[in-house]
Amino acid sequence: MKRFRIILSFILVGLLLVSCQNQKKAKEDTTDKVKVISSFSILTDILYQIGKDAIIVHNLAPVGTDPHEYQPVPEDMKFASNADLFVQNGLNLEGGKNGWFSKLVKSVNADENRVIEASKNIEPMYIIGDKNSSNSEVNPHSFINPVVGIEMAKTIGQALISVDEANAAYYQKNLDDYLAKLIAMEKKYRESFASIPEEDRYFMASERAFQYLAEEYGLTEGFIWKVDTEENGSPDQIKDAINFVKKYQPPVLFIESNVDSRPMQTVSKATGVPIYYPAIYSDELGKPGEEADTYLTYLEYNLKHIYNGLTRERE
Amino acid sequence: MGEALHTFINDLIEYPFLQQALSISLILGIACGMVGCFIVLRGLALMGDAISHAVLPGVALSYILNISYFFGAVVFGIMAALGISFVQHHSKIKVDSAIGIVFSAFLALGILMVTKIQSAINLNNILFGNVLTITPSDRILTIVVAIIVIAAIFLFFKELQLSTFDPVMAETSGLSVKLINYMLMLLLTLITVVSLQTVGVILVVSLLITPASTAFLLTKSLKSMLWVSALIGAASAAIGLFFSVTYNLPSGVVIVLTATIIFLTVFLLHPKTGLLWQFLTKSRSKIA
Repeated sequence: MKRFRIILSFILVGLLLVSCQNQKKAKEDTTDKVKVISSFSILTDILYQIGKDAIIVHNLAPVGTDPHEYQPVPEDMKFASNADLFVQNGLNLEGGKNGWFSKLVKSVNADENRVIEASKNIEPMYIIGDKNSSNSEVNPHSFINPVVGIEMAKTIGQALISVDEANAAYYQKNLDDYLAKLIAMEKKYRESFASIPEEDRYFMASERAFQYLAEEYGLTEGFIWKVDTEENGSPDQIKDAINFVKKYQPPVLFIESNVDSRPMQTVSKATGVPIYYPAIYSDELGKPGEEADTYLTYLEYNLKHIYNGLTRERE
Repeated sequence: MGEALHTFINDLIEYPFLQQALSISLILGIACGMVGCFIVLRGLALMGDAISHAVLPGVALSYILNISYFFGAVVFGIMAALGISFVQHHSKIKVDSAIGIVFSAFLALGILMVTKIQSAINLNNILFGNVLTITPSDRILTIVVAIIVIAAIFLFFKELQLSTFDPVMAETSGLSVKLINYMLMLLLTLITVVSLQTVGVILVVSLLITPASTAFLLTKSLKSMLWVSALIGAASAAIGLFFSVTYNLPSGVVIVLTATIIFLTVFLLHPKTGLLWQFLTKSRSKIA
């Protein structure tokens, strides 16, 4: 029977193909530096602040692109194949367990102990629902709050120590130095926001990325859309935003470096409240050489401009 | 180029992710190339595109029911395929319009569901897979489905051939043309759905249509068309991946462009029907 032979041969080929899919890592490291994969620019900077020249970091989502959606290219995969540590933000920034970062980790068969979420110690806040509802969605943008930044630095420092114990003292010292700077920055945030009169603490931006910051320092947060991955600037969203601005009369409207500014312009035209320039940063750093090209200068930049905007005289 | 090839082969030996990407894109290139022949010959070239978008309501439903995307996607893909042939056979509407009506309706329904359930489903993650980051479970699913599809084409070659070229003859010889059509739609849906998760929508459409059309220009019998199409599909995958790795470019789109370049080469340089020769003879006759 010819058909039977065909079926049999296909089953054999199938078994062969499936069985040869599970090889282990082919080659060991060629340099003695710790190789780290980082999902986006802020984590990359924190890693370098703590690891300095003991590590090599390969940054995935480049500055100017959205870390919610990134498609790895061959060089990323080559680096990932031999990486010692995989650092992502977590809180769904990289798309969660079906997101691109998880797929990358799974496809190179990485050891789960070497994959960390920098935000693992952060109490999540929700854009939709809460932790008890079935259809909840976590807000990933925790790092905009410097209090969270301090926790993330600690988590990243611990992770580096655990994969490279020989350099533990070095990492610990760098971490302590870095934490001192972050704590000083956090103090500046607290003092600055405390000095703003309560009736001026209305903060309006395009994406609801500033929730952690707003909660921490007692700002009331307005936004047009909840998260970049959904529809940006639908009629309903614009209407709600205009109502917020009319109700609370914030002194300025903020835009972020990597979002479309047109919806906010519509809000500005409808309400007469001006847009604040320059744009502030949400989920990326500035380009290398620009003002906010490290996490610390990013925090400083955002504080300076948010403070300037909120304390500006209303027109 | 020789050096680049050497590096590529070394990379291939060193990196399991690259071996997986190559094996998956090769087998999908072959399977899509073969299914594509029947799709192209029957004038259903955009069916794959339609199905790949029409699966969205199924994906949303799978999310609500908390089951694997695959099942929901296959069910809705088949519903779309059936819907298209129903509209086509029960009215004077032609198949291209039927495809347009059904697939846009399904896509709209899917977007509505995704918006309403406000889930963390990311449309891009579903519609644009990446051949470099295929999870182990997706990999096995893809291989199994591709083998089922290729095997079905071998097993039912005669039936598929007859119903494609001469449905009346097929019907009189006791064959259920309808059943064969449904089987073809099922195969197309299966291969489209697995390819979606692994390589993304653009690559599926391209692998279904471009190699088969190239083979159509080159061959005279269905059997040789199938082989040539499978070969071109596989070659596009391998060559595309080579350029993608050498120049660090996104793999899916480079594979698509490779298939397109192979098509253009044949289109222009085919010894008998090549556009270039036609052009040259025309200008020569003008001079004379």
